[in-house]
Amino acid sequence: VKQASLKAEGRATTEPESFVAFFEAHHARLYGTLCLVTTDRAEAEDVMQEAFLKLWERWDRVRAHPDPGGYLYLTAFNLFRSRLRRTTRAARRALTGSPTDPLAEVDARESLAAGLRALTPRQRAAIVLLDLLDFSSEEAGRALGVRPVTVRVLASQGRATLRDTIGRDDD
Amino acid sequence: MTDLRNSLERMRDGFAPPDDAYERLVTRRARRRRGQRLGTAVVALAVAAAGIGVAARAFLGAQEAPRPTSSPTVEPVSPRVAEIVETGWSSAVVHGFGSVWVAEQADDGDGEGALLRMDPATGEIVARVPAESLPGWEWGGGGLAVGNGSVWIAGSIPSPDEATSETAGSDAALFRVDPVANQVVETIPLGGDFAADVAVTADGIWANIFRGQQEAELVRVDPTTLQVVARIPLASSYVRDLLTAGGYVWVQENPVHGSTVGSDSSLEKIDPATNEVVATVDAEAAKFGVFGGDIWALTGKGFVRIDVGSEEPVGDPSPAGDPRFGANLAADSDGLWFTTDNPTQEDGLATISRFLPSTGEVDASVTLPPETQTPIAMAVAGDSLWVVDYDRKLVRIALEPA
Repeated sequence: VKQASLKAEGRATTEPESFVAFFEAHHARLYGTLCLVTTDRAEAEDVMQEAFLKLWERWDRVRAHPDPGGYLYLTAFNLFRSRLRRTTRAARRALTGSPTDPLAEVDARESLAAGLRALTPRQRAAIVLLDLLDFSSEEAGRALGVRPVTVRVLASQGRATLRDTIGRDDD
Repeated sequence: MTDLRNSLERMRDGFAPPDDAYERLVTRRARRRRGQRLGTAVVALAVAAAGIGVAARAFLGAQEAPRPTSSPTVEPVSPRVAEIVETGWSSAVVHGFGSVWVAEQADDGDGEGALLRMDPATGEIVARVPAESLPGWEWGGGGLAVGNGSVWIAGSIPSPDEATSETAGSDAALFRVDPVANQVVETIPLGGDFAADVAVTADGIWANIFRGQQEAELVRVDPTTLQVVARIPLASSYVRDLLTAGGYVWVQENPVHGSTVGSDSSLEKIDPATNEVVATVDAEAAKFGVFGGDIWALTGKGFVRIDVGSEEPVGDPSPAGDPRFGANLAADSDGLWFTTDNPTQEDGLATISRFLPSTGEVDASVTLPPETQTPIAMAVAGDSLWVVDYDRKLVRIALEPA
């Protein structure tokens, strides 16, 4: 299994020389990750910028952090979590399948995109944290503000939906 | 599915951020700093803490010091989890007419359900009021109020003409519950799509409502005739809580960028004498509460008092740990109860604490038990604090003398 975890990415740039270098090293992958989670380019960029701003404001301390990349992702997922909690059911409906849905733009034949769109935001976040970024359930629970068992349930539900969706597309 | 990681990586790497992402970040930072200089002592303190702020500190230094806003004698309390009551999917709680009222959804989707009337000392359900609609917030409570001899529910009704409905075939509505008969006795259509919150004053029942994706407004209902007597357009299309303080009605709003709701809350201040917005307060707060006639903003840096006359933040923020997003603030006679992440354990459990405006300090805390998930709404009822938990539970916290 390719170890492309956020933690590895973070450590690769430990003690970056400048905030600009840190931004350049991380923003593209963070943006892509947030596109997967939010399914909305505008929201992904908004969360990404807010996360970078928070780190910028305390850059002296962040640059000395043992894992500044990981800290960046935790900050971003905390912001994502806060936004989720603000959102009414109606607003959530607006967020899913929005006109700027980037998953729809990737590749219509890509069954994974369809599968991700079928998930709830929290299920998408759990899968991205566990399966893409190599978080433990405990770490992901911290990022999402839920207990580890909830992360496992969310990821399990999400994977089951992905299996169903991809299976149907493959038929 | 064995290559899920590889598939996710490929998809992630296919999203290219805007070429000018860094320039946009710089612009946003500059804009925020201008906002800080113009008005928010809250964020100015954060900037100062980051080491940038000689000027910011000077600005803060010019602010009036916090003034006591509660009785000088505080009754020390020792909060204790007294009982946990299993419920359905609950969303809001208020106290009134000697009871605790809890909005319990029939499921977690369609909005119908019942208003549970409970004994505040034991949690026994003494009445179940069927309701066509209940407050729809997933987090943070709101949408229930007590006043003018009634319990009020903010919700929606099916639109009589779906063709003209602005979103999902519903119109905003208020429901009046008679606490003697324990039933909904009035339904007041408000137009729009659905109501976010309700507040009661001597001369009005107020509801902030969503209108499609682009608009929101504050609706005033005459408490005698129950007719809509005023509609006040609001600046943002995303509205949240309603408060009453200083003879004014205050609406919490968030900016909307496309389909994204921004996190920087503001308040619009409405004068009931003219039914007009007379001021806007940018506070970047997660939640607002009323105590001692003033508004208190719970921000990432702590509690900040907002003067209801000048609409200005007063003094430095009072640290409040790591506020957890979501739960309502709940006032007792001495302070405001709020939720934080447990400061001593990384167990994901929430701690509920009391902030004393008179001292600017937190004087009491209790951590919720592991069988709960996270608190989403709170109300003080006599010697108890009732907490709605996300996962179908109510927690009664006994506020015993310390």
